[in-house]
Amino acid sequence: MIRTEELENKTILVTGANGGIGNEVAKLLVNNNAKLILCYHKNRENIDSLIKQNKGKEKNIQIQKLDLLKEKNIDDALKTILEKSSIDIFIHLPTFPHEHKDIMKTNWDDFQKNIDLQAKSLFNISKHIVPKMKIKKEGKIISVLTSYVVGKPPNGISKYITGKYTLLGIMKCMAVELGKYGINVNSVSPSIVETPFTKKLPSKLKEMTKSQIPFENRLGIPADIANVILFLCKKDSDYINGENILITGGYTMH
Amino acid sequence: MSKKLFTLISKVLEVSETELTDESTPESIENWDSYNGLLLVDELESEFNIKFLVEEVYDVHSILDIKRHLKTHGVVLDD
Repeated sequence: MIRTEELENKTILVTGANGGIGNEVAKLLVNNNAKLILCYHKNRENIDSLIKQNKGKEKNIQIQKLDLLKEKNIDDALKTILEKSSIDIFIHLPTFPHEHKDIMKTNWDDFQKNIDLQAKSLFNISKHIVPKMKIKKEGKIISVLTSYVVGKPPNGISKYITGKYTLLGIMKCMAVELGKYGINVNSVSPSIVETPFTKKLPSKLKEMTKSQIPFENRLGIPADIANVILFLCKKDSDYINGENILITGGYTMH
Repeated sequence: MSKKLFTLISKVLEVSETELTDESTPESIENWDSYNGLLLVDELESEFNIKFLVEEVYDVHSILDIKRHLKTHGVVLDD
């Protein structure tokens, strides 16, 4: 049974909060009366729109511009945030726009940028927030990967896949070492979700993927992912740790 | 119409038209991987106002195969 009131006093930091899935997560958390720190990099129109649609709840929403590739920016922002409150839950879902590139035309810098954005930033933020979680003996860290970290990846997105695999590795290691402090570290792995991120994918790719998805022959929608993340935010999921949950309608299976 | 087809393939796969022949394949054209192949399908469907079957997409191994499936959908090529 999911308790609707339990997030009321929780402070939740969300990176990538302007993105398709991130914004849907933020909507659900606002409805659950959580206190939110919504991070964005360049664009924030979806966050602004969320605030407009939730008059009266503005006091629960703090907006933070954050460049996850700049360690000092993370340090400065987190120090300021933590002066006022601790973070109970950290949800990490940043990503670069989709770019298709042959692996042999990819430079190591491309890989490094993805590793830094996905994994290094999670690590750097966690170094700030975990000490207070340890004192409280509770905390949740949730990241969004991709179903391509299970089985054969598609061609042309090696840098993205490599960033996500690195994040998967960090997630599992943190789960192992932080579990004794009551901190859960998990991830979710969606297949193609209908968001601005996937809008540029070939229509035929989506059509062919849909035909292979057992559940309703449809692609995922942001709410499919956000609802699982919400579950991972709550106490009912406490015994799930170090897990990467596939959300693919059965397209990918462990 | 063949000229139109070659121009379109050249644009999507970012390859010179002079390098394209009926015998061109994903192996001979560097940018013709599965992703760009599907982008090409999108463009062909839009340009010729047709809809390929999934089986037809899997059956394309050369430009000649593309021409064969276009003909199945009533696209008249002038060669």
